[in-house]
Amino acid sequence: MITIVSRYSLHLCLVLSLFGCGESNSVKPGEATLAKADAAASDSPEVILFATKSLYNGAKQKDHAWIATSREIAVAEKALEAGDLAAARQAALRAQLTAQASLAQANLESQAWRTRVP
Amino acid sequence: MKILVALLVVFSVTLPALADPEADRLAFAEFYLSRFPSIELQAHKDGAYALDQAKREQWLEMEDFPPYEIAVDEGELLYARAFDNGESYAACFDQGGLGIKQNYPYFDIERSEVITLEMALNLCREKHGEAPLDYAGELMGNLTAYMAYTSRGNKFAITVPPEGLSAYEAGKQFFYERRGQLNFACSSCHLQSAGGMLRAEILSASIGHATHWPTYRFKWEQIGGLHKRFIECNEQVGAEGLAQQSPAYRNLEYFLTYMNNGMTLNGPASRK
Ligand code: HEC
Repeated sequence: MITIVSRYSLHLCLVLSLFGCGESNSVKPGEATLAKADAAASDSPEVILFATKSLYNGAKQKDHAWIATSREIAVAEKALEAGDLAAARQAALRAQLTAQASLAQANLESQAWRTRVP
Repeated sequence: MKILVALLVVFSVTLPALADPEADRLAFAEFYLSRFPSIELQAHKDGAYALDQAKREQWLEMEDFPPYEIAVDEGELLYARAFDNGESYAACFDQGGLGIKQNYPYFDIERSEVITLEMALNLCREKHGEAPLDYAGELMGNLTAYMAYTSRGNKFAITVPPEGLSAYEAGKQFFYERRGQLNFACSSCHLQSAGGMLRAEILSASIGHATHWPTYRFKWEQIGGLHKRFIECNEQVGAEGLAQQSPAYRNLEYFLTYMNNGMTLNGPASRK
C-alpha cells in the first residue's frame, strides 16, 4: 500500500496540478488582488486604479491583456490629472471590469483551448 | 486504497495526450481537406486568394508588377555587404543562407528557445559585432525577402526535437486560446470559420499561413513579417498585440509552421 502510494504520488501530484489543485500554492499576480479590486468599488478612483493596474499586469504576464483595459486606465489617469474625479472613477471601474474579464478568460482558456483542436 | 486507485484511473483517462506534432499536422490537414474538398492543400499558400476567384484575378494582375521586387533586390545587396570585421551573413548559415527558409523556425537545444529567421539574422550580426536590426524595420524586411526568394519552391521541413515539444505546445495553445474582448482564438477565424466572410474579407486557412513571408501589404505600404500580421490579428479582437519576436510569437510561429510542413514556400508575396 505504502509503496503503491509513494510510487504513484508523483503521478497523482502531476495529475492534480493539471486540474488546478496544485496552483493554489503559487501566487498569481492578477488573482491575488482580485478580491481587493472587487472591494475597491467603493474606494477612491486612485485606489481602484491601483488595484486595476495590478490585475492588468497579471493579464499581460499571461499574454492575455485587453486593449480596452489599457485604454480605460489611460482615460482614468488623464481625468485624475485634470481633477475630474467622477470621470476618473467611471473609467477606472470600466478598466477594472475588463481587467477582471481578461484574467478570467486567461484562466478558463488555459484548459478550454484543448476542446478546439481538430 | 480502492478510492485512490479509482481516482488514478479517472485522472489518467482524462490526462491530455502527450504532444504528437505529426498527428496534429495530419489532423490539421484533414480538417481543411474536408472543409474545402475541391481545393488542393497546396493552393492554400495563396491564402484568401485560393478561396475566391474574383479576388484571385485582381491579385494576379497585381502580381504582374510585384510590389516586393525592390525589397528582394535591396535585400540581395544588403545580404552581400561585408560586416566591419570582413565577415558576412553567409558565414552564419548553411548553404551560405540561400534556399534555407524551409528549415525555419527551429528549436535551438543549447539556447532552449525557438529561433526564427529574423532572430538568426540578428544573432549573426551580434556575433560579428554589428548592432541588431529593428524587427519591424525595412532592412529586416528586405533581408528576409531576399532569403525567402531564394527558398521559393522548397517545402517546409520543420522538426520538433523532444526538447522543443514544450515550445511547440505553447504555440499550439496560443493558436487555440480565445483572446481579447471579442473572445476569439486564431482557430475561431482561420479554422472553424475558414472560407467565411469577415466584413469584406474571406478568412484564409492556416495551412497556408507560413509560406509567403515577408509580405508586401498595400495596407501597410511596406513589406512586413509574419509577427506583424499576428499583432494585427490579435488587435482586431481587442487583445493587446505582443512584441515582434517575443517568445510567445516565436512559439506560435513554430507551431504554425510545423502545421505547414510539406507546403511549398512562395515568399515574398503581396496582399491587399
Ligand atoms: C476575428 C477573426 C480573426 C482572428 C481571431 C485571427 N485572424 Fe488572422 N486574419 C483575419 C483576417 C480577416 C485576415 C485577412 C484575410 C485572410 O487572409 O484571412 C487575416 C489574415 C491572417 C494571416 C495572413 C494570411 C495571408 O494569406 O497572408 C495570418 C498569417 C493570420 N491571419 C494569422 C492569425 C493568427 C496566428 C491568429 C491568432 C493569433 C489570427 N490570425 C487570428 C482574421 C482573424
